[in-house]
Amino acid sequence: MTAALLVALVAVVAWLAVEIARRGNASSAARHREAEWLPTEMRRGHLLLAEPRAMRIDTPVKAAAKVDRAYRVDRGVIPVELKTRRQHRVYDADIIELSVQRLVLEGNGVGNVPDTAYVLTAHPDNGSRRLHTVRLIPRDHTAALVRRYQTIRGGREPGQKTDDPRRCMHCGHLLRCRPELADPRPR
Amino acid sequence: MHFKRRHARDDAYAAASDVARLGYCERQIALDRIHGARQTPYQRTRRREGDAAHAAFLRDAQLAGQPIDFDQAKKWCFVATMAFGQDAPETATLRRFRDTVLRRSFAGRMMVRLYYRVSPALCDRIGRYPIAVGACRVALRCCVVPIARILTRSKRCAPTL
Repeated sequence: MTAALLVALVAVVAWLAVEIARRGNASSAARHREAEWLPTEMRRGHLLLAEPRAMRIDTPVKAAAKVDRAYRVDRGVIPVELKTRRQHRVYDADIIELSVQRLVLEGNGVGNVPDTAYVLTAHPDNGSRRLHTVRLIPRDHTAALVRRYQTIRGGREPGQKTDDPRRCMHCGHLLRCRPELADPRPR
Repeated sequence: MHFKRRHARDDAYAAASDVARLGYCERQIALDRIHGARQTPYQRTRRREGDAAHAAFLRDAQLAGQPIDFDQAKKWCFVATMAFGQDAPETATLRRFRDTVLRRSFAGRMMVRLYYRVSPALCDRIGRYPIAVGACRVALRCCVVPIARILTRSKRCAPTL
């Protein structure tokens, strides 16, 4: 019985040692990947949130957000939004999303979020990452956007069609909304 | 084409990612409300790529061992959270044991450090198999009972003024 217990203990310790060594390698690889894109101010700061549960606010608007990451740095709390794209570029939608996240973070007492935040674009095939600094929308304008969204979603307004027809090409409502753009090829 | 009807309530919370769609096309929001969200195969593929990238991003944050501030740090108890849930009484007991017993000694702190080093990977492995999660739950429950007794005894033996 004692021998069996000893063998089991040795097996567990050996497994832990292998796992620690493997984790050590994985940790260094992760640290290297992080160092490639993390700016200096965030490296000096603290990772405050990493995909926590969704947070909500009731004032000035009813909104919810789940941040990818948020760092506490000298100038406040900076959210970082990850986007998977084949082109390293930022869209208006990213800025809107981060601006709403700012309202929610501040409304939950996480801290002051300054006017600039980050979008990290990641290429799904080659894994390359690029960090983009974005200027957030003012808070009152962001609240107005949330109300605008709620108005359209509530059916009180039909909403404007996009002025960029390229955005329609992968929309599930293409045939209904813009049949003139519909491609006869199967999607 | 995948069809998913979404019944949006007027007083529901507006998710940041949904509000962001104003930047793409307002009309799509209205059409989703009337006809349901319609995802094309292209969108489903992009969604899968995004989910995988986000999972890797979170894993990098855990593996890189970045110091985490805020309540989120103290709430982390990977294996117990996976087995019981973040707010379960068993998870709370294990957290209390970590904070009131283990962290008070050097050996205990080393054990905690080791646990945080291996547990994300462990959870990643175990979490894929429901049977393994169940077995983990049973094993942890066997530990939680004596730990709860230790905590109760230490509370009783605590010096009172």
